[in-house]
Amino acid sequence: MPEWWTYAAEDFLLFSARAYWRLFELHNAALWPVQILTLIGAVAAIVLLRSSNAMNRRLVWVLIGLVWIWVGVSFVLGAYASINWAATHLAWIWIAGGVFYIVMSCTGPAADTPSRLTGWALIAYAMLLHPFWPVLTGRALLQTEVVGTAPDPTAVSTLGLALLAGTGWRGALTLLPPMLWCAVSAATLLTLGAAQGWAMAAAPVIAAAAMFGQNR
Amino acid sequence: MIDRRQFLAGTAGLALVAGTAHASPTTRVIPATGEAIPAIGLGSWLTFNVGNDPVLRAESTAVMEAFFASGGGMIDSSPMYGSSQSVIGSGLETLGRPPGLFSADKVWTDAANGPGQIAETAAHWGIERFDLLQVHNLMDWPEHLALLQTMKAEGKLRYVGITTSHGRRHRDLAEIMRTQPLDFVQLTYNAADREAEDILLPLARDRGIAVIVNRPFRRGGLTNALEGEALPGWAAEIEATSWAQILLKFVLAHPAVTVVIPATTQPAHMAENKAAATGPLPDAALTIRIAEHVAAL
Repeated sequence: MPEWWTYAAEDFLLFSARAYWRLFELHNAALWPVQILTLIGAVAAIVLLRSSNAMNRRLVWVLIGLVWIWVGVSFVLGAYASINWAATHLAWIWIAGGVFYIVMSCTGPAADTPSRLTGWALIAYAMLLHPFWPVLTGRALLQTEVVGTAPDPTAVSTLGLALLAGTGWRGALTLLPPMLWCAVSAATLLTLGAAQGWAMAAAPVIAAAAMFGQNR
Repeated sequence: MIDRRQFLAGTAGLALVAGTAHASPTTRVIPATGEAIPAIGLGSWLTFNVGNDPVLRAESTAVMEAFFASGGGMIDSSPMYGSSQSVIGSGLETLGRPPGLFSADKVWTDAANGPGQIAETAAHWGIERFDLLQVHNLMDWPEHLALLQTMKAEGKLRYVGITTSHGRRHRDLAEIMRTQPLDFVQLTYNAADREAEDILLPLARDRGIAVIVNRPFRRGGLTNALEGEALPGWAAEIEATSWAQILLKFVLAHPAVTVVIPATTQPAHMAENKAAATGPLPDAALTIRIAEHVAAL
């Protein structure tokens, strides 16, 4: 790209904030009441992850993998790509991430030393606080982003689940897909002037600090 | 598409105002042919990229309706602008393909994919032939310009152009303008970004190349900065009723400028933009004053 130093972040933004938030409104309307099912699924994943049965803990990563593929196909490709041609490439973070989680569930021990506090905090944010950003910023609640149907809370909750599941090289690898997405989303949201971009920027930093703090 | 009657009206206007580049207060002349074109066009960067959202698509159509109600003219898009091309196409369809459209789009891909992308672009618009196709941001320009010139020679295209934006690659663009047969050039020019005044705008005039101006409001940055500020007394001298009109009149005051393509999501703003082409334009002293005012923001 010639004269790349003359480009600002806003030069890569192809859409308005309004068009972006409306995607969630339409996506929510099209999927309803799937959001309730995905929230129940998220709670089930937490319960399974806390189970002493290794098979249950492996099953969680199969479910997470399927959700990642679903979010990638239904939202990133099915909705986001309609206003951002780069989303056709970004969807691979979700599809490849989903496949990775499914494959990972079949290999090695399912958990070791968990990083509980940070994990729970990230999950609580993703499930209980993130959906209310529209209300906090004066938008319609219909534009809410729910775990399992919207990418941002799904990515943050995956960071939390990864911390609950364990540390070590497996834990570090499980953080990679959501960290990648969080970076992309934070850059997009902050360029749009959306305050929740700071949360998306902070989540992977917090998760990485917790993960590598445990590993030390 | 500009029809024959409008074309003749434009050339008649040209004859009446021989010696100037203005066919009438609201139109300008394309130097290559003498065809008149409304001086205020419609850009689609950001504003028309609304995906499949029926509400926002209807708003875009309403903007286009206001545009055609005020005389129509150039609508400009690019394959880079997400869903903008298909939004324009569906808007035109909804409006019953109104007369007065000057269709302008771009080719923005590597050299080998140019023909395929142009066909795809035409399908999005729902038209068979563009009035103007431009090489977007000089990308693979030798190959794309050759393709567009061939299309023009075969009657598949009326005008050929090339674009830049944000003041980038002006030296390269100047060289292309000096050496290539161009009908149009598109560049960024506004009260804050005036680099084009040095070489490109005088060169366009010398070479008989029509000039399309993008980013007249600096992506809303200038109008946002001026929002709420009372209009100065001299605004009445040029019959401007808003800062947006002052900024557009600043651009139109340069004699090399043919069309300026502001983008908007609001029909009321569309009508306001169109009205900027009516009434007097700022003279040299006032353009300096406007630029100084903007520079002080």
